[in-house]
Amino acid sequence: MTTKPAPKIQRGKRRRSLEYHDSIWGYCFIMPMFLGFLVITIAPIIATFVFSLTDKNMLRPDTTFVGLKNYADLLSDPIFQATVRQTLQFTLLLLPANVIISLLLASLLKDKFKGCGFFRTAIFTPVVISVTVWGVLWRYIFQTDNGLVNSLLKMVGIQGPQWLFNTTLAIPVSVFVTLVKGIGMNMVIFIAALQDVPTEYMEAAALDGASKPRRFFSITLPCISPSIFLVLILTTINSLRVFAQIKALTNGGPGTASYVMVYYIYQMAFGSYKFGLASAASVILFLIIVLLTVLQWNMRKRWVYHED
Amino acid sequence: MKKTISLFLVLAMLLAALSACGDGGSATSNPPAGGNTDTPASSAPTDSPSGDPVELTISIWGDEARAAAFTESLADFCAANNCTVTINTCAVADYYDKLSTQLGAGTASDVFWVADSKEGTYISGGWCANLRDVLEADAAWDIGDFYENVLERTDYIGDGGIYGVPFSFGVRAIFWNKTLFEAAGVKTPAECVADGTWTYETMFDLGSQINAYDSAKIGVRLWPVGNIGNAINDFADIWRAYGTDIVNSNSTEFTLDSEGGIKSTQLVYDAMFKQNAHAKPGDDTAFLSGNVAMARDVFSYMRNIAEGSVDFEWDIVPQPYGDAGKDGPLYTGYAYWCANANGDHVELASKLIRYITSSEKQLEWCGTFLTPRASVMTSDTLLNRGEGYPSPESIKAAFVDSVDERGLTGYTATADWTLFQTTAEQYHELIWAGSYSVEDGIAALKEASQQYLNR
Repeated sequence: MTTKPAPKIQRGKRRRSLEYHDSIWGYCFIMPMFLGFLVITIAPIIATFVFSLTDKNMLRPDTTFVGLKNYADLLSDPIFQATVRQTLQFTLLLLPANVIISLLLASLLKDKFKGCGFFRTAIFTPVVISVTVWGVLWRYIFQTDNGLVNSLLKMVGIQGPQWLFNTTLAIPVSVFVTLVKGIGMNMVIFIAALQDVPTEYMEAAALDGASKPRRFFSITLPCISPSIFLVLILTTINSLRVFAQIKALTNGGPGTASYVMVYYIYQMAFGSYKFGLASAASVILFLIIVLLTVLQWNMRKRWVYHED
Repeated sequence: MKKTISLFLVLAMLLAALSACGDGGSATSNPPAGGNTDTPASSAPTDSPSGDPVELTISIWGDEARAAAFTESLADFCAANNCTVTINTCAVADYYDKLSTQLGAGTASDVFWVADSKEGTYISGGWCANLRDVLEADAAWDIGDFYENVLERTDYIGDGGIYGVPFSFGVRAIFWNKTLFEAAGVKTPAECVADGTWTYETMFDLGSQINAYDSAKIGVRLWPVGNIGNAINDFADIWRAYGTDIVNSNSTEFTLDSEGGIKSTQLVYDAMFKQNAHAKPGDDTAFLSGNVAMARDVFSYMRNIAEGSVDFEWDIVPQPYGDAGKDGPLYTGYAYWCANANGDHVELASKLIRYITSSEKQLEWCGTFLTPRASVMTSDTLLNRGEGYPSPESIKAAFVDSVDERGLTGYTATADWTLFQTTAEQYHELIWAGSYSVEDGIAALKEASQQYLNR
């Protein structure tokens, strides 16, 4: 009788031993990924924070600690101030246009009809094209003298503007090119979300006499709100980090009229070799992205369906 | 216990990974102290202790075909010096980003190319080795064969060193489309040269007539206006033709706010926006397309056209004159071979530069690069380019006689020359965009850029 509990203890020990044994192997298996994450992601982030407190210049041997001087210099630099404004302008123009147009396209293409595959493919194709190739292609389309756009305008007697050499147009044109490139991805996300909206709700609302706009705003939109939230977050982050389109289209010009944050960072790091200043600008961009993402994340509770 | 072992494992593997990332202390990213002396590595033996061939690495811009051609061209040098060469190519647009990163990380090639706009930064930063001793050790290399001052101008440190040897210089000529001129019935640049009326005003007037003949045609394209890129390169010839420049001879003062500076810049502005004579900003139409009547470009562009199977006839003439006439020197940029002062094989790298910049080798490459060596510039090899090229007389008049007649100068780049260039470019773009008048734009540029000039 007294020996009966012993096997239970042994079984428990063996189980724990097996769990322990498995967990060790588990850690070993994730270790390469974890180390890669540390070395490729975490270490550069830490290095960026550290460099931002120094006057590091890639082509100078000496580096000294300068505290928050880089941040002070940046915040008092009129070009950096304009760059932040232009980046936010880019985001504010792109975000609503991207969400509304991709949702509109998804609404049109969610149902199967003859030719819908062609349209879906045509709209999605720019997503898989290299962003640099895309930028160069559009630079030719927007050429002043012999570009496609101005040639078409000339055919109807209109003298087209210098699309890429105009301080007012440079950012909107860049937004347009970015919009056309990325809209296919958001459209696919919305098509998947729209196809998941329960048809029973729509049928019940139709029976109750709800109009199409009412059904869209009262049923469809709440049902796809998690997808809208996802698209908002991704588009915001991507628009704040825009670079290649600007580099290929306007090279930041005319003057600094189309400088955006990442282009400014690139210019500081590889044009001026001022890594300390570029790192400080990177940290500011990081903080802006974190701030906007946290803001959106907290606001989701008010309007995202299925969320607590 | 489980947590302890896990933590131990994580730390152990992290340590292993970080150790693997280290360089074992064999390399350093620090340049030599003061930047003006050879490193101890420069006196290291060039042969490896084991007798195995030493591998020299070279960074150049261009494509794989160029790398293969250089590898072949260096075959004799490799055989004589028990070494091999590995040539890393890169698009010119990304070249300096890559080179700077590699220099900072201590992984740059033993030999690399640097253009004069960047040389001030690299040389004053101490990344380029002094080549003078190695170059002078071989009398046959003939240091006196180079154009005056072209070697000495790399001495940013003031120690009398030669920190780079030019393999290319960029004197430019006007390429013109014979077929288009004939179709338009407009007086040709060659006729203007012959009757002594070849000025910038005349050139823009001809361009205007071409555009009036066909509005889809561009009269003049002085630079790739799609992205101006480098306003100083683009404008230097015109400024000098009008007796001025953007800076004084030692780059200490901004001088473009002179009468000639404003006049010449205004002339180009008017050619773009009033005469419709010049391609507008934001246009990339190339001469090769046949839609440009006159384009300014460098010697090697002839090869692009000759091998480009164009369906029109073309020729070249010297650049036009301005108010300064023959006293307005032509501008040139230079591209240099430099040895990595922090590399493992500085002496061998310096010898390689001496070899590839000898008159024989530069003659071999003269179809691609115009070299500031008198012996190369007057050679039959350079002038007789063969079928599909302009006549030897045209080439001589455009690229050799014009230099002899007007002279040739570059800029004394400052350590912050890149920033000066960027600022100049930005303000020129703002002038083209209409944000400033020419005069106000130049005044604003002066205020913004003076900080980057030599102090």
